[in-house]
Amino acid sequence: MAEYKVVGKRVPRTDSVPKATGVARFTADISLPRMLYGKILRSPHPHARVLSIDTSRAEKLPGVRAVVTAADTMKRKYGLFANTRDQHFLAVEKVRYVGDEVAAVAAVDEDVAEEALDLIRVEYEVLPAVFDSMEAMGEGAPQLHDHVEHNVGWALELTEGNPEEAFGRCAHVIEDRFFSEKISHVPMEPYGALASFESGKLHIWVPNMAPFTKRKGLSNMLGLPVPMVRLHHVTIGGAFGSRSDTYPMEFSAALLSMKTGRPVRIQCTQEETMFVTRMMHGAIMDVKMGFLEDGTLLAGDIRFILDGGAYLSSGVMATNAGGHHHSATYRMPNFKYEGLRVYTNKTTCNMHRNHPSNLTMALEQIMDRAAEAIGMDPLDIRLKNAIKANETLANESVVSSCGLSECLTGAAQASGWKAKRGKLARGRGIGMGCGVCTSGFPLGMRLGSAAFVKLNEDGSATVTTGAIDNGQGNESMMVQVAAEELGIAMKDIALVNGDTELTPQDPGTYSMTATFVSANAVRLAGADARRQILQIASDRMEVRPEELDITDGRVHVKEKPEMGIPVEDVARLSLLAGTPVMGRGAFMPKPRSPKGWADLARKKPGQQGPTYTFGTSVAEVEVDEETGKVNVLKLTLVDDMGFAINPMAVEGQMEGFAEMLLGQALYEEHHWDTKTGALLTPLFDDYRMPTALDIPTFETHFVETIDPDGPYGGKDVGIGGTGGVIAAIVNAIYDAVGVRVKSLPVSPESLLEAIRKGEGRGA
Amino acid sequence: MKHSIELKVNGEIYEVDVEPRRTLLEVLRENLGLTGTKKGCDDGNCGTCTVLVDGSPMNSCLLLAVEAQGREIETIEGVAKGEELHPVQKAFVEHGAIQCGFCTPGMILSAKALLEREPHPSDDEVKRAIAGNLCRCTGYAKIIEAVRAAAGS
Repeated sequence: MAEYKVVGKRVPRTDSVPKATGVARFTADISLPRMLYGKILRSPHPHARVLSIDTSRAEKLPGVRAVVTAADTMKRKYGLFANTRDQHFLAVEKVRYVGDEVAAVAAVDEDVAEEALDLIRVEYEVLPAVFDSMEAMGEGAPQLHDHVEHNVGWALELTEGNPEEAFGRCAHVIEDRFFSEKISHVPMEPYGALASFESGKLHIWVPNMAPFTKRKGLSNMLGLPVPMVRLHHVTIGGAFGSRSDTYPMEFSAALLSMKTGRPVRIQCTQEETMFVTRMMHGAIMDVKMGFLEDGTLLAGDIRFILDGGAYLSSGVMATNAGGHHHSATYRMPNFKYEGLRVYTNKTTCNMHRNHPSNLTMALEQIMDRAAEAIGMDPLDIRLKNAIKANETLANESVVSSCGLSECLTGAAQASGWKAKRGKLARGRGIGMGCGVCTSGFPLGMRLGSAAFVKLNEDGSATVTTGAIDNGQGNESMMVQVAAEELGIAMKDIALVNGDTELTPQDPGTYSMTATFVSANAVRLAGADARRQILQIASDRMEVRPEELDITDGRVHVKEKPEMGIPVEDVARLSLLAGTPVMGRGAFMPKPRSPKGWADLARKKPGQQGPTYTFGTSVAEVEVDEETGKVNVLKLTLVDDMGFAINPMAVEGQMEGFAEMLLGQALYEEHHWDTKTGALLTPLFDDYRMPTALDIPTFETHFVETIDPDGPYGGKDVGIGGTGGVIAAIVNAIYDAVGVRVKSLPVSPESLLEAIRKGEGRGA
Repeated sequence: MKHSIELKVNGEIYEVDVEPRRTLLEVLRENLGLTGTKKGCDDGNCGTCTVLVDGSPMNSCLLLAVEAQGREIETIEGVAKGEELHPVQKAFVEHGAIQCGFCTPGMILSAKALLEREPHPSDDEVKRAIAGNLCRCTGYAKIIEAVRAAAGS
């Protein structure tokens, strides 16, 4: 493996000191002179026609500066793709869930704004609502959107090979139905937006995952030209997928600012954030898989019904990912998939960090059941079918690098699998699960990233990239990569990022592109600046550029390190010559599939993502058979992320994702009052997430496959590989007590009931 | 009606006029501009607004500003001495215990209070001390490691 000076090292993140001292500014920490406070009036009904809105009394309340409704908008619909637009940001004719935006108020303080909301009179015609995806698809069910019959907002059908014929040849066909509840992403920072419309230009501060996509969304919805909308850089308190959409909050803040000529902040409470941003889809999953007697997986058939809530959002991707990711872990030459994304009168669901780990849980349990039926070790059946590098998947995607087999054997070894599987004392168990995810989706012109690196007069550098950091460590990674290329210290590099006016375009953090795409662009910009530095030094020193290197801010002859000049001198020479060092780089992934890129919005097959990441998780659990409580003792996580640019940050991504999955496996679920349509679990007392006391011991390892196109071989981490944690936990529960989990989360009540019903081992 | 109160925050005395219903969190952020203390659930369940009151960690969203009179309040802005980070802050930075950073100020103050009370805590004591501070990014492991490292320094 190549030797590097900065990348591949455990370095403290550049953003950590400002965050440790309280200096880092999140959206709610920014105030502007003459700022007004906005509040949103939300629908109290899960489904209703809006007959009239009277804002006159609210407008007269002292302290109120503006009220906006759909009448103040262009009445355009928002959607991620041109053919999936279904959401008005302020209700035009109907409201479709409890929380749907109806009007917004700006006032001198939050209390006045809140009081004004009570003075807005809305006349509704309440319509029948539907809260269950199966009911929503049935005859006579209330229809949420006029253009969508049976409430199926997006459907994807895939057939590869001949599944029917293949199942006929299988020695073992295993099938079952699984369920999972809706859950929330819950970034710790509540959602909020600050908008300031000045001299025809809209300035926005908002937690986001892709400033350029959000800029376009606002530009479309407000009818402002693209350069008249500026997303500013801001520190972001987590996202996990929940901040990929453009939201009514920034839209309403913008409208109010345009109407008043003053800055407007709309800050959501945590409770509001929970029910008006996004959730992860609940699902009904019918999974059938067929195996030959030797354990070869021959055929798969998945029906994935996603309970999507009121609007489509990135439900398109979630539906697609169910099919494309679950034929990418194990070779599946004959594969049938039907994904149905169903509208219900609940909070909208979108992509969640897990892609989608509920379906992974189902598929990985069937792998275990097949192993049991055949009499194989669950490790061996996975190794037998694991995808390998350069394979073409059933969906025509080509996998450029893959260390899944090494992840499997690595996780088995680190966890003591052979010694423990089936051999632990009653109540103790061990289980495994694998995960997969692409680094990015085919996003057309939005998939590429570009960057600049300029040298300053003192030999320091400034990196400019559109890349955004939701907390993953992307900002620090960009500095680390530039430091590697330039041969100067990370502390001598300033970063400008995530600002649509100052930086080139970037895809954002949709499904892991920061390393593979954005850091690649920074690497190339750094390499370009390096080439310019070496040329100037070469002219000065009369040594060929190939014979030079840069170390610790000094250009020197490789073979004679004492012979050299400081980068600072090069910077001055370049300025004097009128040729300042300004490196530029751009990276656009290329599809490896001969069919080119898949087209998600038009369901055209092809390459589903630039590259793939993999991983294996092993869980060791203890089940209290008196109470049904599951205690996860240890999680062994082994991921293939290509190359770990900052191993400490990579471990943090894997462990943090594992924590989230542990919550999804054992604690987290949403409930609705089906009479009123209200979310019953918007507060942290009811929506229970893992605390420090719930955390097992982690053993975290990497498999570095050095992807041919990734920066230094890096792919990405934080979604895919660790996605098998839920599967590992439920398979470990089976090993412990002999109960097969069909539904998430595994509450003590449900597990106890299953054990008592005699489903448990030896019961 | 507003009350004129004196708050002692990070060793400095502030005179502020506040309505009695205002929480310490609101007054710190809005009146004093100390935005390092974060507003999360505003309900006492997430710990992002943790400050030290007479050395004990408290959710500042649950304490009225008028109740904080005459007590020593420490926020994240008062933890470092100038450019020099407190050992807990240093350990958080060096051990990768910070990701998005929204829970970090509260987490650091809970950890600091623990180490002042118990200089050599066990893993279990560390977990209990930060159990009221939710973190969604890190999986807590590196935070626990950082607190242990700070204890050893």
